[in-house]
Amino acid sequence: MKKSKSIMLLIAPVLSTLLFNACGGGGGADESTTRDVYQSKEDCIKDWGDEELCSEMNDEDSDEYRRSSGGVILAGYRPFWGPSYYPSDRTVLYKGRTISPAGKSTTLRPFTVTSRSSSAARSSVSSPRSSSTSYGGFGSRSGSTSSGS
Amino acid sequence: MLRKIFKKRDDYRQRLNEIGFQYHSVLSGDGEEYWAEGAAYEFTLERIEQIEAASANLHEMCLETVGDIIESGNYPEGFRLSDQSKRLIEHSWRNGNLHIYGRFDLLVEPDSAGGATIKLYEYNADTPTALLEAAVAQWQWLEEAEDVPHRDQFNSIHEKLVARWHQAAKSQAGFDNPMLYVLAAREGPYEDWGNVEYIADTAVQGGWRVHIEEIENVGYDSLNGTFVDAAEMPVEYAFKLYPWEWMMEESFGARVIDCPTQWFEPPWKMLLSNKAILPVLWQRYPEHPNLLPAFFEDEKPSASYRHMFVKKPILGREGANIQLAGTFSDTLINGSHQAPEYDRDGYIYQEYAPLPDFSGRHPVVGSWIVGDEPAGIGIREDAAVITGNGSHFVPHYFVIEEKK
Repeated sequence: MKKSKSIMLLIAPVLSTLLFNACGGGGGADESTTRDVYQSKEDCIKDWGDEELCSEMNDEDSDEYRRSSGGVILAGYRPFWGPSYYPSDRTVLYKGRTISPAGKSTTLRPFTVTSRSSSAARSSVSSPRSSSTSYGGFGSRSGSTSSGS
Repeated sequence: MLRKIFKKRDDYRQRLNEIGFQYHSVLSGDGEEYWAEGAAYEFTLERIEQIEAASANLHEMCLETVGDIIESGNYPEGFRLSDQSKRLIEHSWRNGNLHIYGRFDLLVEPDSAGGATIKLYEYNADTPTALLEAAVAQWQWLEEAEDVPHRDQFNSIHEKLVARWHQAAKSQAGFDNPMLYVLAAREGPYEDWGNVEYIADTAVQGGWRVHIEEIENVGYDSLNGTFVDAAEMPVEYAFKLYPWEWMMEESFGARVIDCPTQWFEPPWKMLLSNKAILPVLWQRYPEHPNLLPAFFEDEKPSASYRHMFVKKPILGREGANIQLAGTFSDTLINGSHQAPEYDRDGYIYQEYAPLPDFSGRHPVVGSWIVGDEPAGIGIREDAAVITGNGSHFVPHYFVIEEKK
């Protein structure tokens, strides 16, 4: 009586597209991204300045790295990934800031990801930015409590 | 209004997942799942029509009050609005910026005359949630649960949302298939993102293209005076599940009035989502049957007043800081919790009207307004008299009783 006959839900197909599109402004959806590889977590942090941009490489990634890029992993070291970026612009947008690495600590060969890699963090893929644009002016209360009521 | 028990659907978790309701099994404080499969509230059609009429009336009163405040420029001090917020409210109201939705939280209690008392607790007019469960999940339950005596529900939320988005696309954007940015906070809980994804879905069905984005990724282009996305494309239309009072305190808040972005909900909703609207409504419509007596802090009722009062923060969320107001001191009510961030903006007083008790469960009726029409209800119940994040969502249906 109060409700029309049917509900058409498009949630799954719509969102799978939308969420991917939200992953980064620069580059097309299929553009390759690159991640720097570091001998240690300390090297990664030295380069990118933020621990959260560095993640430990698992065994599967190590094998793939060796096989695909010919990168050398020194015995006794646990390599780390830096964040994903588009090869044309080695910067990332992270928490509203554009971060450029110091560029001194890449001790292993960067690894290019040609697929729509889920390892590329939603907000860490770079896009070219003009100097007149700033980010991070909304969202400072994020996580402090629910935004809903 | 009765609380009834039903057989749980064998595959209810899977069925709820299939409609995008991913947070149904998040455990509340009592260890039970958020979605209360196996229970439902039964209403009579007469009661539903009473809720519908009260909601329509309350919404109309709210709009009249907002219009009068803006036209007179007389903003009660209790709103604690900055001049900047006032300018933005006026700008959005005079431009006719469309609103999409809101949710009244209502007390619905049977009275001795066979009717019901319906009272407004508050209007969640800016960032209401529990939307997907009200619009879709409870309707799915109605269609699938066994032995429901009459398969009907006060619920056209989904259809009205789609229609409202369609209207917004045509009347506000003025062209086919405009782009809507749908924004929420990066660290927001599952529930926030679930609601945002559902809103995006209704906007798509209403004729928009949508781009879901974290609000942290909105930028400001000072050269062009526009808000932009991560690729520096202008954000012309944005829905945000992020309160206006937070936005206005942040560094981009000062830019909002000069940027052409049209926001859903519009800034004038700041007047309705602020609990200071409650004493203003009571002043305008004293003794109205759907209002509880409410007062600003400096009008605190004297000790001789015959009723007890609760003290509510004007910008509180999730049932925080709600206190039983005494003559000499105030006591936090069972089910509330202390959140220091809501202390600074001040409080209002509202007559204490506890939720009805259904074997230790206290249901609050969330009455949805979409556009300017009542669109349906969703019920959350809690073991405590304050409905907070530990509450459960319970579906409903109504039966048709013959007139005596």
